Amino acid sequence: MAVIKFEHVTKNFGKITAIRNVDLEIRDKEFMVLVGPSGCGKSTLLRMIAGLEEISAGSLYIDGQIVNDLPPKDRDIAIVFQNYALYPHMTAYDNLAFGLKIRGFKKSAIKEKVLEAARVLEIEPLLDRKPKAMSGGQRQRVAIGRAIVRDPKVFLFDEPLSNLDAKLRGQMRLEIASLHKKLQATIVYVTHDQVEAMTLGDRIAVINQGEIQQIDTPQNLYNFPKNRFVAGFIGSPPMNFIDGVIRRSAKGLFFEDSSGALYAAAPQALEAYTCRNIVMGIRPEHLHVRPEKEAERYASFNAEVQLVERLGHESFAFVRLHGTPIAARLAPEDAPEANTTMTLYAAIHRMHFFDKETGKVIA
Amino acid sequence: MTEHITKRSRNRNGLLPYLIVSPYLIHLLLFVLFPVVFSIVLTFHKWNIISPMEYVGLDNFKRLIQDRLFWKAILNTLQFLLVHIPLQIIAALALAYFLNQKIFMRPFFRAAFFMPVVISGVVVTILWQQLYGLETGLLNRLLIGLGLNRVEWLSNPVIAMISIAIMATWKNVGLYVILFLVGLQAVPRSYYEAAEVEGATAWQQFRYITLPAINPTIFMVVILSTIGGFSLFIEPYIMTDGGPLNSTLSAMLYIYKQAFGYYHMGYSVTLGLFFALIIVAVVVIQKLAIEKQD
Ligand SMILES: Nc1ncnc2c1ncn2[C@@H]1O[C@H](COP(=O)(O)OP(=O)(O)O)[C@@H](O)[C@H]1O
Ligand SMILES: [Mg+2]
Repeated sequence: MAVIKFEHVTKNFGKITAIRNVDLEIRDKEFMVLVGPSGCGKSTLLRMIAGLEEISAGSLYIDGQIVNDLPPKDRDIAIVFQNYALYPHMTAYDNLAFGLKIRGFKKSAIKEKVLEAARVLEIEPLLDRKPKAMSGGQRQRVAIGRAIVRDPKVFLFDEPLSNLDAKLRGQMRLEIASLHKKLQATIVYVTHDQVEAMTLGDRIAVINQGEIQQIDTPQNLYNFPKNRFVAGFIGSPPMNFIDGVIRRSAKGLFFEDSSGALYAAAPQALEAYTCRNIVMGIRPEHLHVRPEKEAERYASFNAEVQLVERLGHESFAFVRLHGTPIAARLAPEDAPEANTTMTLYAAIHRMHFFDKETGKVIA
Repeated sequence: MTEHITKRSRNRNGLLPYLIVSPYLIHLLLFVLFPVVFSIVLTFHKWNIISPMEYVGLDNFKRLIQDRLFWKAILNTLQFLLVHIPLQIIAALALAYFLNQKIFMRPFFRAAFFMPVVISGVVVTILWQQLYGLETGLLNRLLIGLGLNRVEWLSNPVIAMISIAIMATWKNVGLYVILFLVGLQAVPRSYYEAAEVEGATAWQQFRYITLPAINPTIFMVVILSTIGGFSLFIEPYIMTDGGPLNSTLSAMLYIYKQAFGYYHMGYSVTLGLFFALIIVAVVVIQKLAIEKQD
């Protein structure tokens, strides 16, 4: 059992407020990902769970017990650091054994546990090597091994894959996911990589400037972002944002972009925004070269093609709509030529509308 | 190609390159090469600076082997090192450890411990002479004030060298504190955090993380303080003149006395060269021991 709960938690470093009034509940055995740009406070949140960072205000609960003042060793957690923090003068075996030794386990019990963890992570051949003699990926495994060997109820990961190359990162991602199934423990995982967040998380907390923007499942974050920040952060290439106004006509409300080249029927919920500036968002994958489905409605507009990226299975067209940059994800055979004009069809029911001032989603 | 260029530039520049390095060459000749050669020549001679040198063959070496006072001076120096080096390491490491914590007025203390290093050795020695005074010295007054017996800091032949070792440690500790501070600060914080999460106490963190991490610094301090300790001179020269009963006569002090007390130049140089060999031997042994441990 391990439920972690932040209640109005704030963290100040001198005059800097790194975490502002955070409420977050991490469920038992959940894989929770904390994602956000660099410096947003992800590590600080994680380190507060570990007890490595004091809490300035608010309460942190683990399994219903306030742990604000509980030392790290009594929290039954393990943390995997970004730089692995393996003890350089110890072999992999001793690195794994250290915590058990400190806690007074018998030699035979230590050996059994270390070998079991080594087997799970397939690092047996590394056990008598020191960190210096290992590759980045191997160190990563040993660092994870050091975490699982004590069988804690919570695992904390701080950007564990950021020092690995892309291929290894993909592979380790799968392994961490399967490890979570095996371990049946609560995992809090920090990353700035939204692909990692989307693929690993049961739920994701998107953080910006020390505040939680939205907590939800990966699919819901993608489909129903609560604000412009989340909409722009989740998805790659990011959602396109187009400035415009809501107008009223005989047929109902419609959105007109600021250049007057794009018209789209707008939901009735935007009534209050009539004649006001708003921002429309649409993802690259919801722009097409022709209407995709008969039952759906599309808003078409002409744009100048600036650049085309061909990735084989798909291609990205980077176009401009009167100065506004827009990316479209297209089938390879639909890719236009650069420096031409093309017509794009935006799926109307896929559009998001945001308040221009607050950035909050309004429809 | 390279050869061609070198040749041409040499022709073109003539003596200029030699002129540029000449200050260093002159220094090398005058203060390194000449003394070395001259002292090797001297070991085979008797010379009192005023009258001409007299060739004596290997007499100086024979005398050295039979010179009980010289061997006592060497033993005294080793005895000094035996107290000084461990004391130096423990004191410097302990101070560095605390100066590396978030303590009150840290910059002040860091500077304060370095002060004795830059103060002249003569001044420090005179200061400690006062502290060690038998009747009026501060240390004995404190002891008596606490109801304890006074200590014959400098007049007891068993204690005197230890007193000098304590003083030398105090004088040099700042230098080694800095070396240890550099070593301590190079240990990533995440090592300690990882250990803290695993449940290691402050002592266990020191024992299993700090100590292994600063091992190279410890070895450096051992070697530096060995070399520095062998040249123990000012302290006994000013405080005790080697007494009582020659118990603080260091090798350097004895060599000095042979040269400038008795004007036995040839003999003193012979002692000096022999002593240099001992220092090299000790440092080589230390180095081998270190490499074996690694
Ligand atoms: N020990 C510290 N002292 C002062 N400021 C800090 C400290 N640790 C983090 N910060 C600040 O807190 C903010 C959040 O940091 P962090 O949690 O490390 O961000 P992230 O992990 O999301 O990149 C940053 O602005 C950072 O500069
Ligand atoms: Mg971070």
